[in-house]
Amino acid sequence: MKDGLHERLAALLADVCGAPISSLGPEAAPGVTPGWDSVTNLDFITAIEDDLGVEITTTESMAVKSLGDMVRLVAAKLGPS
Amino acid sequence: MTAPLTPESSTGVFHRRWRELTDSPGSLRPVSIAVTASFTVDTLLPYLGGFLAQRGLFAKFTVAPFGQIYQSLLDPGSELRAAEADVTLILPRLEDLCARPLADLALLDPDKLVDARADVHAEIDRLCGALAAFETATAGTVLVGTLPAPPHTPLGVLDASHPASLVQLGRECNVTLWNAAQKRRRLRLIDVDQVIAELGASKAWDPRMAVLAGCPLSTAALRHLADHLTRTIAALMLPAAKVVVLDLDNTLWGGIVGEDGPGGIAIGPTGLGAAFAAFQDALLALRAQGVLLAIASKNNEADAFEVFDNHPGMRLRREHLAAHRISWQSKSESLRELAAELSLGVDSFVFVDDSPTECAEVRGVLPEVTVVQLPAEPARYVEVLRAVRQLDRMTLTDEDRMRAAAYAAEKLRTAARSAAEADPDALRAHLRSLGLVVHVRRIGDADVARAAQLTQKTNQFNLSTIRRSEAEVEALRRDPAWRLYALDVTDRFGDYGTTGLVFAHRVDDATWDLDTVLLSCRVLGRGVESALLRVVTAELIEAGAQRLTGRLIPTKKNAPVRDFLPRHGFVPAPGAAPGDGDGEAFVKQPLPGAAFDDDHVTAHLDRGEPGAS
Repeated sequence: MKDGLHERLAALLADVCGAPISSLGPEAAPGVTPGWDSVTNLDFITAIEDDLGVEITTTESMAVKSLGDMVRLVAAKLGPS
Repeated sequence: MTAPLTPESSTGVFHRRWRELTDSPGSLRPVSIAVTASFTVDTLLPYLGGFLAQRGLFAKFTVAPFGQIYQSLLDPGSELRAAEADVTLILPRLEDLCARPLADLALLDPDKLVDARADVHAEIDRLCGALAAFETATAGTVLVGTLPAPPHTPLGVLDASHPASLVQLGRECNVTLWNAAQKRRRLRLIDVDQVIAELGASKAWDPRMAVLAGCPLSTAALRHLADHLTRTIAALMLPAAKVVVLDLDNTLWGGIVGEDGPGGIAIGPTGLGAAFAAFQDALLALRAQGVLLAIASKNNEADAFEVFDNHPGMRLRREHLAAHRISWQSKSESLRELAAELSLGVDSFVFVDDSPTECAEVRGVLPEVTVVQLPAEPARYVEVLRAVRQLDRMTLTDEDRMRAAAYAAEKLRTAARSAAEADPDALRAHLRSLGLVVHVRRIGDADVARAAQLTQKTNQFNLSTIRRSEAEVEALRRDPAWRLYALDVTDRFGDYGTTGLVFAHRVDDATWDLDTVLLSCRVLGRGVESALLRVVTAELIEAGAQRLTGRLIPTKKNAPVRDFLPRHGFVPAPGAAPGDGDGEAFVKQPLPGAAFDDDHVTAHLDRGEPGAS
């Protein structure tokens, strides 16, 4: 499952924030990447939760500063596969 | 073609669509919307703007700073007041408006309970006062969200029966809002609880949104709310469908009458028949709102009317039908003929059929028709019918309620008229025998809804075809440079109701311009327009008019009005280029000028105080 996790999350993020998927590298960041704001971030978190069956707390999400951070957070929640 | 937006579309899709729209709104009709809420509401706007665009409306938003509902409503200098918007949306929440008394209530001190509840009620009375003041100050429509019940309460399961019940207090406050809306024509409610219930409270409230974005509702709830608001705003701004045209077999009853016989079809109080009976009841409810019912069916007419006239399970009877085509021709052909018979455009038709083939045929040939394909499950017919956006309405005038009866009277008139048609003298005698009486009056507060409806719905006898919302009519009504007249017509067969308008605009001391002249098709061909013009001309002469101007803007549908101005002594205005983009300008001087051929009509000007009705 962790293989391709970045692509999977980037696809979810592209859908909620309306940015082209190619622009969403690990360095993409909320408040910086166009369309990724506090509201779309919540949609992003909801989409991840629905898609991958994990739960992300507000505390955890506030520590996420980039798409790379989110990929690492979700990977840790998914555990060793 | 881009996929239609639905409440299930993602936020990003809405944002993208909204960005594209704000860059190039194209030919969408602008609608100004001012918003204030007791919580952060900016997140709602891309959803609302996206949905409205799908109905042909381009939203221009003004958002008041959140938490400033009272200042926004009451301060004449506020952004909300200055916006003078077509629609002002106010979304309050009890928890935000009444934080202090609710905190007192939560203490459960019996000594403070009564006071705390009274404080909440006083606050809502204050809100209603501010809403009433705002409604008076604006010409637009004021849409107020009801106070949603909280998703959970401190008392939990005890809340339902405890004197400090939060849910009950909210209900009481909503009754107060509803009472306020009964007294104010342009104060309308949005049932936020209903939107939340449709989605499910657990999906509608999002405590993370509250923490991170200052908005207690989930983005899914905001999308559903935006959809509901769009239905409301579109119903305010756009004409509603006028006719529902129905198939018979497996639409109004289960089975095929030509094969199963009248005894073999399912319609009645029990079993599968109950689903069809419920659907027929829903159609009768629409008829009570002024929607005409008609039939387009491939059947033997005798078989079909055997069911309408004699089947004990039928709710719909022959007398409920404004018109019918029961034959073996195509449905699109039947719809065209029904449109001609009813003097309505097919764009005001909703066609309902269970057959995908028939629906596809109509969609292909008559794309203006709203086509509703019924699902395989008859028990779902009612909800499908009630989801048809084109049938949404935000006003219900007396004319709407009387329309079906008026069409029945019209059938009698047509019969009397066709007997006289061949001979001009007989036709004149027929017109005289109608006993036509025309009452012209300045438009009052109670006429604004009907007047806006007429500007939006009248296509044939409509000089300029300028569509106006209630807000726009209200603004003109208040403008001393304008005189707005409405016309009521009766004859010996019945009352046609308010069926005509003249909006006159003072250009200079001696000149009045007939900006709008329209008559409902129901009263055409009777010389009513001459009587109307005669009465209005006399009144404008009293107001100083020495010259009348008017402009014919030709459309595909307004052929019946083309000779109206020349026939009444208007001549092409000097210097006006014929056929330019603004239509054809006419002028009449001196006044009253040529005689009016309307001696079979009794016409009165009712000189009541405008607005006193």
